[in-house]
Amino acid sequence: MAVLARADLHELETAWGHLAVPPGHTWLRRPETGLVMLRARIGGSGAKFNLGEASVTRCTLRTDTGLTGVAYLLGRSHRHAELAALFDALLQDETRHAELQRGLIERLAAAQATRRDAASRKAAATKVDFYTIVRGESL
Amino acid sequence: MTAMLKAADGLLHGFADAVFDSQSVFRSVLDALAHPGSVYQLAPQPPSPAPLAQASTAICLALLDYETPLWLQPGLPEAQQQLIARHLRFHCGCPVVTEPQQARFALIHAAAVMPALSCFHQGEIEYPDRSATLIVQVAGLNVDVDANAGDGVTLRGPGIRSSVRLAVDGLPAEFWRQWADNTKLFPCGVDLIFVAGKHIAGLPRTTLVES
Repeated sequence: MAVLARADLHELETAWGHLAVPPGHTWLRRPETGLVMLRARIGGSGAKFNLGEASVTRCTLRTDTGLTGVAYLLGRSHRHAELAALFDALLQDETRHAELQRGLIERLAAAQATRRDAASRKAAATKVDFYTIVRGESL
Repeated sequence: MTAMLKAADGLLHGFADAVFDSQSVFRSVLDALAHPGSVYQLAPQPPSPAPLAQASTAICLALLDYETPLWLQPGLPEAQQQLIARHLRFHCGCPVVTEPQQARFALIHAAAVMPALSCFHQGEIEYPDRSATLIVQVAGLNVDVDANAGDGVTLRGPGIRSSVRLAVDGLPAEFWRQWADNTKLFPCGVDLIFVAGKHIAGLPRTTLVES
């Protein structure tokens, strides 16, 4: 689910277009966008504080084959939530699971790892180390 | 994740249009409580897990949220009870409590064996609005029944021009005596919404009853 939520909408649309028999669905909960408060800890282990709010979109649907798909993702794209929930439902279908896991999820996860790696490298390249040269008079 | 998906099994969808349907139900409930003894029909008809009436489900979907603990009358088969609780938790996010005293809303599907009104939260004198609201499913609601035939009860109070005669089928024998006690607690006391199929009638704590 995390991989589907982080995937690019365009990648999901393409994968959906490639499905041989895309199933129909009914909504249990239509896509809706709300805010969640992100909480963090100072220094990763200190006191909790409110970092800020983020928009989250969620939806739940049932495919015509009776599978329930759920999606929660950052952002406001209702179409993204719909596709993520549809793939979530399809992944529970045992006849499709292996193929989707291999053909879609692993590919998306690899693409996300590459993007994350590139972003980290770019950030690391601009890292500045602050240091003070000890001046002679204090010695 | 698997547990969450399994828990979603057997779910029904909520309102077709969450915004306008909730507003319409809210308006009908407001009208029903403002005019006790009148029967209103709810327009939105969301699917309803048995044995809940459509109107009960509609009221729950419109009024419940994460701040309103709900008490479900026990006595149903475990699977049905779970399905109702899951349906309402999924759509409303309301906590489901086991003690009537903790609940803001109570859903009563079998009025004949409902607990006494005094079991529910009566509100506090500083905050009478914190009392429970009971959604009571009954067999039938009839207004302006023939007083001479001995059907129904006469209601008086705010929102009623002189008096109105209301017959509610399927209430326990001691109900109207309990209701008379409830009105004496004013400004505290519970409010009640009768539900029969798609129809509702309000009975706020200000309504006095003459048998």
